[in-house]
Amino acid sequence: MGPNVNGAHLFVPMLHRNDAVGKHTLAVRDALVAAGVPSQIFTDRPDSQTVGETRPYLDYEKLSDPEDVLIYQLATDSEMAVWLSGRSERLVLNHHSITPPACFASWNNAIARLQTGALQRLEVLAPRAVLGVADSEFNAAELRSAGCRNTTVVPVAGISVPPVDPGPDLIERVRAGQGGPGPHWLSVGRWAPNKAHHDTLAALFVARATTEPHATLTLVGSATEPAYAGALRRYAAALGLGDAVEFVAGISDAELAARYRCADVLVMLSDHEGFGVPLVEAMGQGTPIVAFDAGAVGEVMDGGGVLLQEKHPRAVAGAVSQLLSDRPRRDRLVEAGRQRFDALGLDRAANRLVEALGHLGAPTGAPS
Amino acid sequence: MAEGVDGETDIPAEPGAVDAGRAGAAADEQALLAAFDRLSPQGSLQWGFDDAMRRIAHPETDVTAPAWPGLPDDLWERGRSARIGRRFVGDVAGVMAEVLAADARATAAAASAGVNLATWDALRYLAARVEALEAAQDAVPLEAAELSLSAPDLTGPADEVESLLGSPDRGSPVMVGECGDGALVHRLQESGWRVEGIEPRAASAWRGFDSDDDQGGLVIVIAEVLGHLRTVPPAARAGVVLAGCVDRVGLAAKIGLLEEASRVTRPGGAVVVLATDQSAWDRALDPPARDLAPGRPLHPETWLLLLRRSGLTDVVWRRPSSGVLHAVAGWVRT
Repeated sequence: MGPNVNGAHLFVPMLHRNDAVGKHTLAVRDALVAAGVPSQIFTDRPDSQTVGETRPYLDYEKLSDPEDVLIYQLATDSEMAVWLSGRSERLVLNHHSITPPACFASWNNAIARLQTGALQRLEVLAPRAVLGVADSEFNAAELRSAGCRNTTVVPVAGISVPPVDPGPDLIERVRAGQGGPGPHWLSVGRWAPNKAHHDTLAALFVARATTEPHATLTLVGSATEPAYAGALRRYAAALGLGDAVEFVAGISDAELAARYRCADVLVMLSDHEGFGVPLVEAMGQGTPIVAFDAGAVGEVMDGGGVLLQEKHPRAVAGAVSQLLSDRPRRDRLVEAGRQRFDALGLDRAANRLVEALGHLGAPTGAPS
Repeated sequence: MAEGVDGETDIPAEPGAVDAGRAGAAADEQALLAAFDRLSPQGSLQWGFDDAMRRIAHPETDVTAPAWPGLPDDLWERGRSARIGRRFVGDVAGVMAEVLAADARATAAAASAGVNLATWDALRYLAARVEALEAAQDAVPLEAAELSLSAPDLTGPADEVESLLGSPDRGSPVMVGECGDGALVHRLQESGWRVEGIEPRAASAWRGFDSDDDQGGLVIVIAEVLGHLRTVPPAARAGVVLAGCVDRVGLAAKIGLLEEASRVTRPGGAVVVLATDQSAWDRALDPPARDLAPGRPLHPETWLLLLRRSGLTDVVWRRPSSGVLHAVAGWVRT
C-alpha cells in the first residue's frame, strides 16, 4: 500500500454473506487487513447474519481521517451514496452490475425505481471517484460513460479457487436424486426477472417436445422476487414440466459444486449480466455452458462455452442438443473453460484491488 | 396456447420491456414466451387489455373464447408495487369490453336496447373500483423515518405488557411493533417468550443490535408495522403489542392496524395498544413533526371503544405507572 493511504473502508448498502457482492466485500476487507491497512465495513442497513462485522455508515464520521480511502460497492440504490458524494476523502467506486430497471418494471415497480436510483447514483459518483473498479470491461465502460476518468478491471473476489471439491459421497447423492436418463440441465442464479429463467423453461419445453424427451432442469437460486419465482413455478406447471423441473434453494457451496459436476450443461439466458459468477463456477467445475450473449457474458466466458446471439426456445434447445451430441466439441469447450477459469486470476482478485489502491494520488482534501 | 398474443395487436408492448434475444422468434415461440409474460402483474394486465380490445373489435368472433379470468388475488395484493392506474384502466376496459361485446351480441340477436344499461353497469363498477383502490392506498403517507419522531420508550409499561400477555408461550411468537431499540423485545425474551420486533427506523434497530450481548438473539425486522402485519398469516402470533405507529398514523390506518393485529393473533391471545398520553405527545414533538404526522394519539377511552368494536373481549385500560404510555388491551375470542 502506498504512503498516502491511512485506512481503506468499505461501504455497501447491505452485507449479505452469501451473495456475490457480499463475498467480494468480505474478501477485499480481509485482503486489506492482511496487507496491514485498517479496514472496516459500513452499511446502510444491518443484515442479521453479518451485523457483527459491520457498522452503521454514519459511525464513520467519528473515525474519519483525511488520508482514508472510501470504497463504495455500487449495485443498488442507497442513501449512503448521497452521503458519500459529499465526503472529502478519496472515493473508489467499485461498480458491480446495476440491473436495468426495465427488467423489473412489470414485476416490481419498487425495485425498478430502486435500480433507476442506482443509475442516478452512478452518474453522481463516477465523476467524483479517483478510481473506478469494475469486475468486467462491460461494467468499466459504464463507469467511463458516466464520467469516471480512471478505471481498472478486477474480477469479483471471494470465488473459491481452486473450485470447491464436493467429494464423491455428495456427488453420488445428487446424482441419485436426479432420476431419469437426462440430459440434466442446470441454471444457477437468483429467481429474478433479469435472470430470464423463464426462457430456459421455454427452451426445455421445446427440447422435450423435439429431441430430448427426458431432459430435466434444476434451477438453483433464491426467490429474491417472489412474484417472479411464483410465476416460474406456475409456468413450469402450465407447460407440463412439473416433474422435469426442480427448484433448489439454500444449498451449501459443496452441494452447489456437486450440482455443477452432475449437470450435463449449464444454461444461462440472462438478459443482463455485469459479470456472471455461475459462468466462472461452471468453468471451474468442468460443466459445459450454453449462454446468451448479454452484458459481460461473452467477455467472461471468452470461448469457454457456447455463446448464443439469440435465445429463441428452438435455438437454445438446438444448441444444447448439438453440444451434448458432439463429445469432442464438448470436451474442447470444457477444457477452454478450465483455461479461462485459470486465466481470470480469481485467487488474486482481492490483492489486485488492494494493489490498485496503492497507486492513488495524495488526497486533495475536498470533494471534487 | 396463448391465443391473441401472436403479434396481431397494434397495442404496443410495455414500455421499456426487456425482450433481448426474442426478436425474430417464430410465432409459436413468441406465443410460448408470451404465456409467461402474462404471469407478471403488468403482463397479465397487458394480456387482459389486448384481449378486451379484441373482443370490442370483433365481438362476433370471440363468442366461444373464454373470458379473461382476471388477476389472481395475490397479484392484487401487490397493487402498491405496480402501476395502479394501468391496472385500473386495463381492468375497467376488460369489464367494459365484456359488457359491450355481450351487448353487441344481444343487440344483434334481439335488436334490444340494452347498451345504456350495460354502460351504467360499467360506470358503477368504475366508481366502485376507484373507492376500492383509494382504500387500498397505504394510509401512512409519511414514514417514521421521514419525521423527527423518536421511537417510543417501551420500558415504562413493560410490567403491564407482561401481565397482559399472560404466561409465556414458546410456540407462536409475540409481535412488538414498533419496538424501537428492542428493549421490550429483550425483556419478553428473558421472560420466556419468542418475540419478533418490528421497527421502521433502521437507526433504532442498529442501536438494538449493537447492545445485544447475545449477538443474533434479538429479532428485529426493519419495516413499517402495517405493511408487515399484512404479510403475516391469520392466527400466527401469540399476541401483538402496538406502539408508536398507533399514535402517528391517521384514523383509518389506526383501525387498519387494529384489524390486522386482531387477524394475526391466535384465539385467546392479547392485542395490546400502548397509546401515548396526548399531553406528553404535544410536549415531545417539534412543531413540524406535530403538524405533519397524519394522526395524533387517541384518548385511551377511544381505544377502549375501538377494541370492543373490533370484536376483542374483556377490554381493559391500564394507566401508566411510569412513563407516558397507556396500555389498552383486549383478547381474541376463543
